Parts: sequence; C-alpha cells; structure tokens
Amino acid sequence: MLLVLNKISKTYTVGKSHSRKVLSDLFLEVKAGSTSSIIGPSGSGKTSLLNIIGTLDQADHGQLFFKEKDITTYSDKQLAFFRNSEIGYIFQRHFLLPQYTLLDNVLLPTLPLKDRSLKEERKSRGTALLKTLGIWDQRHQKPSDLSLGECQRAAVARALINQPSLILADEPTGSLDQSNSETLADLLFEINETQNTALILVTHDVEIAARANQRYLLKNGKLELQIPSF
Amino acid sequence: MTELHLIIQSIKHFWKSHLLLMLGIAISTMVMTGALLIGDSMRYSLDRMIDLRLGKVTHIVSANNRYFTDSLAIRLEKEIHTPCVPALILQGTAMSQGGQNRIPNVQVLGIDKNFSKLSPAKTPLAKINSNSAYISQNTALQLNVNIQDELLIHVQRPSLTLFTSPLHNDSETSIPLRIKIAGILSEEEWGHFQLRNTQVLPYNIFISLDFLHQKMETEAYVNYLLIAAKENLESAVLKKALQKNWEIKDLNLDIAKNQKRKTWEITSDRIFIDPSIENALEELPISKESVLTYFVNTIASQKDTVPYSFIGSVPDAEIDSGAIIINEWLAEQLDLKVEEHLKIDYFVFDQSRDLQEKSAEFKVKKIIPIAGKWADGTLIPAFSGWTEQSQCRDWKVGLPIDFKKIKTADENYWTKWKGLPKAYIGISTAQQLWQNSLGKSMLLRFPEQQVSLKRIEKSLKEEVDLFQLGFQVQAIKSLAKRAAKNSISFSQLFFGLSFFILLAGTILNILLISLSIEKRKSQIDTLSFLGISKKQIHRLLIGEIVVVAILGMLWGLLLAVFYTEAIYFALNSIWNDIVRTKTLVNIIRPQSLIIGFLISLLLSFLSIKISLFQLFQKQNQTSNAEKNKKTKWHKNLLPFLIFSSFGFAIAFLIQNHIKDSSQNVFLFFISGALMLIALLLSIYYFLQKGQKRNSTKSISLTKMTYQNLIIKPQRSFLIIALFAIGTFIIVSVGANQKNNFISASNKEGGTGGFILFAKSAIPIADNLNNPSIRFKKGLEKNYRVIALESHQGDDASCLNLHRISHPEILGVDPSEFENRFRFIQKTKHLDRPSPWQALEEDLGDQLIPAVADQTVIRWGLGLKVGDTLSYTNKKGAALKLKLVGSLSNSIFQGSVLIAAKHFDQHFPKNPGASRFLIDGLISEQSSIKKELERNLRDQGFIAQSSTERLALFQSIENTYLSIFLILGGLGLIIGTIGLAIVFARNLHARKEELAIMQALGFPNALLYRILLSEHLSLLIAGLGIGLFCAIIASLNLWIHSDFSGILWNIALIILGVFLNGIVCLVLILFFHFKAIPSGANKSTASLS
Repeated sequence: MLLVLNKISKTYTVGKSHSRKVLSDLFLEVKAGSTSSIIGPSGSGKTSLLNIIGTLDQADHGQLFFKEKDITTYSDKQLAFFRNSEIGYIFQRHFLLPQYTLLDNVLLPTLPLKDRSLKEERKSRGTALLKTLGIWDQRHQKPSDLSLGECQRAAVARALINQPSLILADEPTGSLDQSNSETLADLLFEINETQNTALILVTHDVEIAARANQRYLLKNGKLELQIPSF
Repeated sequence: MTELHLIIQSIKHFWKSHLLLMLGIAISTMVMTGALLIGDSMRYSLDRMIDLRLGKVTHIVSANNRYFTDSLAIRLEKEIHTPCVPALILQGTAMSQGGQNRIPNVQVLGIDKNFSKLSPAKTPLAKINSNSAYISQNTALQLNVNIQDELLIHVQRPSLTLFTSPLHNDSETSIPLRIKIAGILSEEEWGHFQLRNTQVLPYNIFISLDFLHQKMETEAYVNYLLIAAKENLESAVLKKALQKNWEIKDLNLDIAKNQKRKTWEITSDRIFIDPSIENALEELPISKESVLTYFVNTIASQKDTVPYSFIGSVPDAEIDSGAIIINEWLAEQLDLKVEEHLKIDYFVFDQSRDLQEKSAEFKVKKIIPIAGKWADGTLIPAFSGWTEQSQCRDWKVGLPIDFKKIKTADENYWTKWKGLPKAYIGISTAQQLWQNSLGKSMLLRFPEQQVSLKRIEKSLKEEVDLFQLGFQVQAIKSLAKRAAKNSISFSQLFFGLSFFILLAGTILNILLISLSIEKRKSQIDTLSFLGISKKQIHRLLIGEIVVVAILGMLWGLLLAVFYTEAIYFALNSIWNDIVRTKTLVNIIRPQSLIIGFLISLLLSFLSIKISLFQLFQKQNQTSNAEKNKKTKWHKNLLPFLIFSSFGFAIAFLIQNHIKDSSQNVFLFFISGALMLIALLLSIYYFLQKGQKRNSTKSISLTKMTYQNLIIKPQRSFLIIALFAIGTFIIVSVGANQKNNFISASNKEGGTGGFILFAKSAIPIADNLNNPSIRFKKGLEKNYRVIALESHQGDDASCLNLHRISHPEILGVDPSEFENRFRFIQKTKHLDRPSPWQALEEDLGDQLIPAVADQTVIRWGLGLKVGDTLSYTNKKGAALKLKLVGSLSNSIFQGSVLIAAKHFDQHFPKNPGASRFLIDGLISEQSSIKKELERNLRDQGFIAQSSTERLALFQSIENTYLSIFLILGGLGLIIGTIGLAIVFARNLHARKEELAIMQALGFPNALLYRILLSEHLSLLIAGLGIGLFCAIIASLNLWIHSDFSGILWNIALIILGVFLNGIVCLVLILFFHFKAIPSGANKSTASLS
C-alpha cells in the first residue's frame, strides 16, 4: 500500500467558542499506481484532506503512512524532502512564480537536490516534459505572458519533474475551459498509466471523477467509497 | 538553477518595492554613519586645533602671578636639551581707526625670535623685531585692519608689587602702545596660539619681547616658558631641572653688599619678601635682620604734624615695643623730646580693597642724627612712582594725597633725603602693623663677616621650593589632548539627536519587509509544497532582502558623506551657537564608514528576522495546541504587564507630588514612559483580542474601521507605536526648551537679581564702590559693584566643547549672595537656612566647599554634586574643592565658586579683580553699562546684561533641542511615509473588496471616508497617546515654566506631521481611484 490514512481528524476553531470538525476519524488506502477521485459538497474538507496528505497541514489526530512509514512523526526537514521527492501537487491556480521563466518554474523543485548528476538528469526530464506538454517554445517567457492553459501545463510539468510517487490534484481544471480541462485530465491519467504515478484527484467534474479507479464521497468528515454509477 | 540565480531574478522583478526598501535602509544608514562621521570630524577638528594653537609646545612653566627672568629659558634648555622659549603673555585691549573698531580682550604675546621654532608650520614670527607686531587673522578682521595699519593697544602692566599694599601705583596697571602691523597670521602660521582648552579663537597680538620690556621699563621678566619636549616627558624631570637652574633674579630677589653696614642685603622687586624665602634663610646659622619700611599719612605730636613720611624698622633688641626712634629733623618739626609721645596714622587695605586709616601711638625713645647708618640710602624703599620723583607733588601713588598738607620743609626733606625714614620702630611692631599676604619684611640683612654670598645663595637654592612659591610645570599638550578626547562626543550626541529617525527608519524597514513578504506569501507556500525546505526558503528570501539591504547601505554611505557636509555647514552657520568656531573640518574615516555599514547590516538583519519570524510563526501555528500557547501569553502575561505599567506610572506621579520632587525631571519622564508602555500594550491587547471576537453589533463606519484595523493587528500596532513613541520623545524632550524670557529682578532666578555681569581684560585694583574712586573714574550712577576674585582656568560652560578638569575659580563673599540664586541639588553642608554661608566652612585636610552651575558640573566637568576637583594651591600643595551644591541655570556657568576667604588662603592674589556683578535698577541697566564701559575701557571692561548672558547659555541648550526637534520631526515624517506605503499596499490588496463595495453601490466619497478613517485613526491614536504621555513626562515643566514660545514649536511639529499624513493619504487615495475605471461593470471586473 502506497498511502494509508488511519483515523485522521481535523477541527478548525472559529472565534472564541466555535469550531468545525471537517475530518472525523477518516480512513483511506491508496495503492501505488492507482487513481482515486474525491468529490463532496463545498466546505466538506476535500482541500483539507489533500493538504494533510501532502503534509501542508497537520491533522489533529490520526496517522499517515506512506510506503509504510509514519509521516506524522517526520521532522520539518524530512517532510520537505518527502514533499520534494514523493509528492507532485497541482492546484486549481497554477501558482507559478511570476518573476521566473517557465523553465525556471518547472525546474524549481530541483533546487533542493544536492546530487549534480541527478540535477542534470532532472533538467533533461524538464526539457522532455515541456516538449511533451507542447510548451517548450515558451520556456523563456514569464507566466504573465502566457495563457492559463499553458501555465497550468507548466504547473503539471513542475509537479512531475522529480518523478513523484503520488500526484495530488485539487480542482486542477477549475480555472480552465472545457477543452483545456479535458486535455489536462487526459494528461493526468496518461501520466498515471505511463509512469505508474498514483493520482488523488479532487474535482467537482463528475465525468473526470468517474475515470478514477476509486471514487469517494467526502461526507460528514468521512470518505464513502462510491459504486461506479452515481 | 542556483539560489543566486533565483535571488537575482526576484530582485529584478520586484525592483519597485525593493527601491522603497533600499531608500528606507539608505536613510537609516545615512543617519547612523553620519553620526559617526560627525563625531570623527569633531574629534579631528579639536585635535587639529590643539596642534594649531600649541604648535610643538608640550609643556609650560608658569608661576601664577609671578614673573621670572627670560634667561631661565636658556638655562633650562641647556639642562634638558630640548627647546625652551620665554614668553610674556598679557591681557589687553586693542582698537583701530580712532576707536571705531575695538576688541576689549586681546592676548598680547611678548616673544623673541626663538618662539617661531615651536610653530607647527613656517611662520613669519621669526622676523619679529622691535618695530613690528603680528596679529591673528580674526583680530585683523574684527579691527578691520591690514598690514602697515596702526593699532592702539592697552596692555596689562606686569606688576611685581601687586596691589596688596597701598604702595602700588594704580596708574601703572596698563600701558598704551601704538604699534604697526607687520603681518597677519593664519592659523597655520600660529596665529591662534593659546594655552586654554577651548575651541574659541583668541584675538592675538605678537610683539617683540624686548620692545615690550623697553616700553614697560621693566627688567627682562617673563611669565611663561614654553617647552617642546617629548609628550611623555615626566613633569617631575622638568621640575627637577627647574629647581636646579633657577637663579636669585628669577624670584625677583636681589642680593647686594651694603658697604657702610658691612652686610649682605636681600631685597625683592615685589617689595615684600616671600615668607617661604624668609623661612628658607632661617637655616643659616646666623641671625638675620629683617627690615620693614612703611608710608604713613601723618606723624603727629601734641604741637604739630608732619605729613606723608616713611617709617622704618630696627631690630627688636634696639627698642621696646611701644617705643619709637625719631631723627633730628622730625624731632625739630614736631618739637619732640625723648619720653614724649607721638601718634602715627597710616592706611591699610581691608577685604574689599578699601583704604582704612589706622593709628598707633609710640613713646620717643631716642633722637638720632641723619648721619652714618641712619642716613643709609638702602633704607629708602624703591617704590615705583615715588622715589624717582624729585618733588613730593610729582608723586604718582595709589593713595589719596592732599598735597596742600605738604609744607616747604617737607619738600626740602624730600629733595635732600628722598624717602629716608624719619622714624624707626621695632621690627616685630612694624610687622604686626604692616605685614600682609605677600610677606612681612622688605629687606633681610646678614653680617658680611659671618656668612658669604655663596652660602646665602646656597641656602636659598637648597631650601626654597619653587613650587611652594607658585611655580608650576604643566604637560599642556597631554592635558589638551585629554580635554579634547573626553570632550562632548558628537557621535553620541547625534546618535541621540537622531535616535528617532533611526527608530522610525527601522520600523519602516520592518513594515516594508513584512509587506513585501506578505505579498509573496503564496509564493512561499508554493515553494513549500514543492518541497523546498524552510531553511532554503529563508535563504532565498533573506538573500534577496540582504542584497537589497546592502545596495541600500552602500547608497546610505554615499548619502552620509553629504549628510555630514550638511550638518557641518549648519554647525558653521545657523547652529554655530553650539560650537562657537568656524574652523571645523569635515573628514571621512573609512573605519567609520565600515562601522556604520556593519551596524546598518545588523539592524537590517534584525528587521528581516523580525519580519520573517512573524510570518513563519504563523506558519508554524497550524495546530490548535500551538495557537493555544500564544493565546495563553496574551491572556495572562500581557494584562499583568499593562496593569503593572499603569500602576507604577501613577505611583511615580503621586510620589513626585507628595515628596515635592517637582524638580526631578527624570522621575516625571519615567512616569510618562511607563504610561506610554501601558497604553501601547493596551492597544496591542485590544487589537489582538478583537481579532478573535465576532462582534454581533450591526454594521457601521466605526465597526468597519475597527474590523479593518484588526485584520493585521501587529501592523496597526506598529504604526500606532511609531507615532506614539515619536511624539512622546519630541514633546517631552522639546518641553525642556527654555524660554528666553528671563526676569533680571528675580533674585532667586539665574541672574541672582544682578543686572550686569562684567569682565575686564586688565585687572582693576580699585574698589569701584569707594566714592572717591568713583569720582576719580567718573562713575556717577547709582549702583553697586561686587568684585569677584578669579583664578585663571578653562571655561567649563556649555560654550566649550572640551571636557574641563580645571575650571576658572571665583572667590565670592557669601553674604552678598544671601537669598539669591537657587540650588538644584545640595549636600547636607548646604542644608541650612543660609546655604551660601556654608561655603566659608573648612572641611579639613585641604578640602574646601565649592558650588557650580548644574550644567557645569554635569556636562562641563562630567561630575556630580559631592565629587571633588583637584587643584594645586599657591604653595604648591594639593587642594581639593568639594562640590557641595549645584545652581540652577545661573550666570556663573563656566566657573566654580568658593568663599573669598578660602580664595585668599589658597590661591595667589591678583593684581586686581576682573569679574564683576553689578547690582542696580533694571531700568538703568543700559545707562549703567554704558558708563562703566566708557570709563573703564582702557581696562577692557565689558558688561553684559545678566539676562542676555543667561539667554546665551540657554540658547545653546535650546539649539541642541531644536536640532533634536528637527531630526525628530523628520523621523515622524518618515513615519507618515510608512503609513502612506502601508495605505497604498492595503488599497492594492483590497482591490476586490473595494470593487465589491462599488458593485454594491457604495459611492466613492463613502469609500474615501472608510479608508481614510482607518488609517487616520492609526495616526491620531499614535499622536494622541504620545502627546498625552509626553505631557505627563514633562508635567513639572508645564507647572513651573513659561511655555509661550515652546508650545508653538511643538504644536507646529505635531500639526505638520498630521497634515503631512493627511495629504499623503488623500493623494494616494486620489491616484488609486483615478486608476480604477469608473462604472460598476468595469470596476467589478477585478472580481472575475
């Protein structure tokens, strides 16, 4: 099992006396190379769940195992390494840094790497990804000079540069039009197939959600596995 | 892909906001480095002044009011193998163009050609000769003269007789000289030679020593030896050489053989022989005969009187104490026989130099012929103004002589015998009647057969300690360097004055960095989720900001050079009050640039750390446990700190009021500061608390303002704190500015009720309250003159930049100051109904009480009440002056006051007084001043209104405070710029919010109100809190002082800051909304 979430709970405090429990003893297992989609109403905690998996947030209770190691005990340094090497994050907004070129943005995750030869290898990989995604010619342009679709493709390339074991995509097509959405979705599932990268996809798009192996509904703080027709 | 590459890319991209940060850092660096450079330049200027005024002179020999031979220089030079040059340094007055231009106080230097050898650089003084005089540039400027022009100078006559005896000639206190200017000396040519530690340039006139001696008709006496030795040469070595090489003439003594009496006779040019010299001769194993001759007004018998005669002395063995020997001429004139009585009337000086007539009666024991030893010419005293005159009527003396009383017989006696004594009394009786502080004998006689001349000289050399006679050796250059080194640190001063600019700049930098980081928060998150470690993210951010900071610092270093130039320009012009010289030189020391750079780097680093800390602290607080930790601190410690600060502030205030410590400025300042801390912490607490609370009140402008302020509570707090601290410092310090209106009639004020404070270049021997003296001098108006004894020293007032160790000492009559002036601090010695009387106490063991102005003690001397000053008394013994009290802002700033009684005992007598206080009607002040200056102008008498004198001292303090207010005001301006930047960034960040409000139908005017009210409330809160606390901090000043002028200054600054803030905010608002397209659809475009 690639990823196991065991009894994960998360509560948000609002003001002095209010609190909201968004995840309640949640359980999830993800196999290597699998695809999972999560849907749910707004405010159900989908993003919170993804953030916890991606170690961008901490659960109040529970354990998170990745490749059978308890991530919740990791130090900050270990978590950073984990994110850099194992996780590829794709958001609704591309979050490309406006001061860097496309190529720089894509190569950003290689910055922590100490091994020079590995860095070179990643650079070549970045080149290949940009070509594959059809944005090689725009590599020296800045995000402000490119379309949303091109930026989002660059974000995908950035997420894949370090060959992560798991891609977390939070509404990746939310900002895109129909055509680009489909293209991006195809891309994500293609990567899953070709590179055996697990994919957890949060989306409102039921058609895209349906393409995943496992489909979940996040409700009342827990994941409910969905049967194929919903 | 390297970190450096990313840093450079980021700097290029965000160059606009980085430019602002660079500017903020440049300003802080400029001010900080500028303070260091100003201090360097001041120290360099003072050190340079030492070399320019002392040249190669390292040590000096002087002898208080004594004069010694110029040949002592040659003997000393041979002994110590180092240049030693004589100089006669006197005070005088100078005028040109028929009196149109005058300098009331010039330094007249009688020098020889060797003087130029000690010059710092080449000087035309080597050419000085009898016909020439050289003057300093400032003298030439003041007198408006050039080379070949003529000057009339009045020079103090070096009187050996002094004025302690009625036998001096008061017309001899100064002599007029007409001189032609041969050259005008620049400072490099040693035109500004002076021995005093001050930056104020002297007015110098250099004249040939020979010429001066010739004109003064004196022997080759000088009062200084200037030595150019190694600076570390021990004074003891010089003292030993001096002791070895002095000769009889250096003590103004003369040893001659009296052929008739077959005796060696020692006389003194000072008339009286120093008691210590007389004591030294006690060592000789033979008896000496002392002789004292005195001038009496009348010798009267029952039948007749004889006026104006000399009476001599004989050994006690020859006559009983109540008896007198008269010569036959006197016997005949008074028709006296042996056993008959006569009475003598004679003058002595009382404490105030008034002549007092006293009498004594004697019985005639013997009548002697005027022959043999009784006609001995050596018995005739050589009093200048007397004995060289051929007739009685030609006498030039300091006594009131009624020439009508002089009969023909008296004139005939004078023609034949001159001042030969007409009578003789026992030496002990004579000494009892006529001895004074200068001595008790005028002649010492030794039998020739019993002792040789060599033996006498040997005894004198062995037993006389020059240094007990007032000779001193001073390592003048070391002392000068120490005074300069310990002088007011202008670096520290300008650090202090610019403190608020630095604080404002630092807070602005923190704000700018925080804003910039905040803007990049999403980027930081992105880097984080890409697995870039926190450490690496820190490095990227810090690296970027450090590069910007370094560029800002380099810019700041460049600006610092111009800033220093600007400050020096101001010091040499509008702020010249505080330095009183225009010879300041600006230098740039690389070390100071480096230090300024490093301190700025540290400050910038701290600013970055604080900004990043806040950001990463929030990032770390993802778990509720972490957040609870912070809440506990807010809940428990913060309220405790608030209540404690309030409590202590109020407690201090109450205590000050009860204990009537209304003079304790420091305590009031502490109260205000604690109140400020309490209020600021309260603001912080309520802002933080408000963030957590969800108000249920319905929406209003006030609620919207408040809600918007608490979105970023720390930022809001920083801005309020910036303005509060700035206002507090400026107002509480600025309130110390003294109002220049001072009442002269207020006896408890700084003037003591005296209308004038006067100085004379040439000491005035006469009692200016004596009616006959006043008549003689043409002083007709109704006023009293209080003459003060003075012992030369350095000016310890705030007008002198140097740290002084030997200020001028004034001897005062405590009874004159009863119920005058006000003491700020007193030791237990002064704790009595008449504190001034305490000055007359003897504290034992060479310790005497003294008082001084508080400013002198604190700033001039760097001491406090209770401390002591070390001096050497006239006998060469160590003397300590204990500061038993301090005066509040008085006209005595610059001097230390002791009782006249102690002055007479410990310090050498002067040829007259040169400091005066005038007590009279304020309405006649101007006419009294004119009268005194006109009639005493030859003595260089200058009277200054006591209120003007006090105002001058106050103006120095006020100038410092003005500089502080200006720089502080600039700091507040920087604060408003910070506020404006925050405002602009807020507007930008809230674009969507503003668009929504517009979409909801809010008119622009309402939006303006909402936005302005938020930011103005920060400004008003800050100014208000600062002002309130500042008023508490300076409460005693508000109660006791007159604030009419100062209030305006402070109000202007606060108003200026407030208006500046409004203008900035309105302008930003205007341009922001102008940039937004109008119309609901377009404005809400930002929402999509």
